Amino acid sequence: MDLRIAIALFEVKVRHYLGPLLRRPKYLLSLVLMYVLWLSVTGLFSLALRFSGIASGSGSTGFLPVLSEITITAVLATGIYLGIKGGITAFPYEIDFVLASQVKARVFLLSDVLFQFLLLSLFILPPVSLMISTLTYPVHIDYLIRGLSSYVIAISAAILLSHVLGLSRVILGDRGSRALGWALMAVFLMPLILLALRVPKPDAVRYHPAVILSNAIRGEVADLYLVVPYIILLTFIYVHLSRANFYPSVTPVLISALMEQPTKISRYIRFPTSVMRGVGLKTSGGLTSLMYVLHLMRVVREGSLLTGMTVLVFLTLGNVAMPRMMGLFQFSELAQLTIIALYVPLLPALLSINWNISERKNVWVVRLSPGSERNYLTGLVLTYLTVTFPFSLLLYGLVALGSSELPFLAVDLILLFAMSYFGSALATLTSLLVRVGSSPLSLGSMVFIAVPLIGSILLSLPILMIRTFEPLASSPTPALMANMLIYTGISTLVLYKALVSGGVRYLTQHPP
Amino acid sequence: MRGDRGLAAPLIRVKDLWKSFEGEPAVRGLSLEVEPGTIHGLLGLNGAGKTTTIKCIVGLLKPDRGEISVAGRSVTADISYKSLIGYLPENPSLPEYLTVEEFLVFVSRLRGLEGLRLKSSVSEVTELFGLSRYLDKLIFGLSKGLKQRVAFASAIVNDPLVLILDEPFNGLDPEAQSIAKSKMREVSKRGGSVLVSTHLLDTIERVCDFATIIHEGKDRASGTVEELKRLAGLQLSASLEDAFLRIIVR
Repeated sequence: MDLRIAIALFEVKVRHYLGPLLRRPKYLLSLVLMYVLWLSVTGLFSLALRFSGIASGSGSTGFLPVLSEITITAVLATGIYLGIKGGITAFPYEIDFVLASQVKARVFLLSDVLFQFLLLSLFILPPVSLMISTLTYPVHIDYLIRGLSSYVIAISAAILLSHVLGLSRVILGDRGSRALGWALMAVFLMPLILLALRVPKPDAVRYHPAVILSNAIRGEVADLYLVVPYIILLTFIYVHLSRANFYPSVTPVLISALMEQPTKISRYIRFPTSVMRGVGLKTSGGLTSLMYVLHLMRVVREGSLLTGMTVLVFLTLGNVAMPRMMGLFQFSELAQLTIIALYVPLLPALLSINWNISERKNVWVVRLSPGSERNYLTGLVLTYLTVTFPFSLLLYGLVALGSSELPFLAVDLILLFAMSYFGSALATLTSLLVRVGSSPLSLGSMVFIAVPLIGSILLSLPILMIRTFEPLASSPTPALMANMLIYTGISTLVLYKALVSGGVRYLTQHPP
Repeated sequence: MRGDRGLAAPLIRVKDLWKSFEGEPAVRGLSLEVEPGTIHGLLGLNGAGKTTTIKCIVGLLKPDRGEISVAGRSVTADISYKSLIGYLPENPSLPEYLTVEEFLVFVSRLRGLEGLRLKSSVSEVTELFGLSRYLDKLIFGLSKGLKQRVAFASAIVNDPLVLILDEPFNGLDPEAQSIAKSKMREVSKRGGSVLVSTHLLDTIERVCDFATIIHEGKDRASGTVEELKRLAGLQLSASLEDAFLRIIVR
């Protein structure tokens, strides 16, 4: 009976989650496109490694242990990340109707385990199978069987971890649970950190679950018994915690397909609200500075800034460090700079997606005051620029720390400023003109990323070109520097004028 | 409490208002006049066009056709009228990352208040709505009723001449409802106007000087409660509910 209820809850959950995708063909199309893109990238990456192995004579299966260690660690880290965010993926309707009914806690948990397993498997198992097959063909069947077993164990463990962390809120409270989550994250990421730092692995690392599961893929199946104590311990804690009345601490995490609750103040990775307490909104002064502080408070307090920065720092480090970790090659100085420059506009892009979801609806307050739309938009761009430019320098510093080849040049400073400003202005413009659909995988959401990214590259192209030519880049003439500054200044002004005049017109003509 | 009609120019005048959404008409030729010193109720079924009309008046929607003026200024030609109004939307969305005080300071600044005047206005409305102890709390953590109190407080923080309220009593407890009603009376006593959309017929009976019944985007009847009952062909002892139902099925 309980199992039947759990399956019924699971079915409704899946239909609710995928609802918008199934109802609107364009959402389904964009999801399929993203999925195909995801598989293509994995496939091409694996193929590149395979050819690289053949060319270097080192064989292709040699990459598998490192790659599987990285990906299994990432799967487990995903579970912990979900756990930090609440662990149990409850929808608002479940809180109102399921958790308020006599459905047993474990029945509800089981339905969520099935739901999370389905989603994670859909996104992880096909690309992983493609990666293993590409790297190990023609002996891929054995690898594939062992690989899929390892990844299924990893996915199950990730779900248990996420639930355990969610349930631990009953005992440890929100803060305690989050602290436990981050501590676990550090432990689980340890093999990756050691790999990235090229620190020789201590013996104890071979007992790390990701290392055990990864070793099993390349044939050390006997080692799998080492993972059993972990599973038993995790299951024991899970069963113990699930006896507690956790319903009151469950808050909605998801709305629909990959769409998270927009009101996320209490549960997202964010700076403490005390960070902005001292700033406050001044009772006098210019309206632009008022709007600027308002937006700054928003991105800091609601968590979008820290979340975006964290994601981009990890992406940048991963991108720069992965080839080195696999002993393949090291990116050139210029390639590293290009990677940073590409990631910089993504920060305002991510912030503008969040603006669209959680802040657009508050614009009515501004629209009741004549003329303040202009200040609102200026404040928004300034906020994005204020956080993006220092962030670009931070990324630059991080990459430079790990590389002796990245000298700090004046041209780099101009380039990073230009990318930050163009990205900020274009992200603001895009967020005004395009509304995020009910799914971040909608075509509209892709536009949010594509426009600031491609637009800022195109607008910064003259500076990027100069950066590629030596000795122009390292010792530019005063005239060249002046030209670059004039170009950046003029394009900044032109873009600002276009943004404000178009933006104000749009804001005043379209309902919030 | 009843105001005298026709003694001064209306503070809100809507004439032959039309508004459609994706070809579907929401308001179809609605006309309305709200005189100074009065509280005017908007009555109608769900989807009758009340919120659309209000949004057109406050400038959040652009009318397809028709004329709207507030204090003699056309809302489509001269947005300076906005400094005269206070507005409370139905289900107001508030910036939840701000504290109550920060939000009220923000709205006050947008309304042109500064310095000491701003501080005294904020402290007056927070005291009035019993929000003083929530000043440093994030709006995110407030209950629905408290959020509605904050939204109401923000609508009156600039001491508006024209107060426009869309379902203002949603989620308000009896105490807050009473405060809200007395504030509405205060605005009308000062010679201002209040336009209030509500489903609560007894509120219309007790608080409003005039009411307009809207049905399917058109104004069906307008007048005092007594006049509406007469228009419906009912005795004065009949309820406004009966009069309302008769008028809309006519």
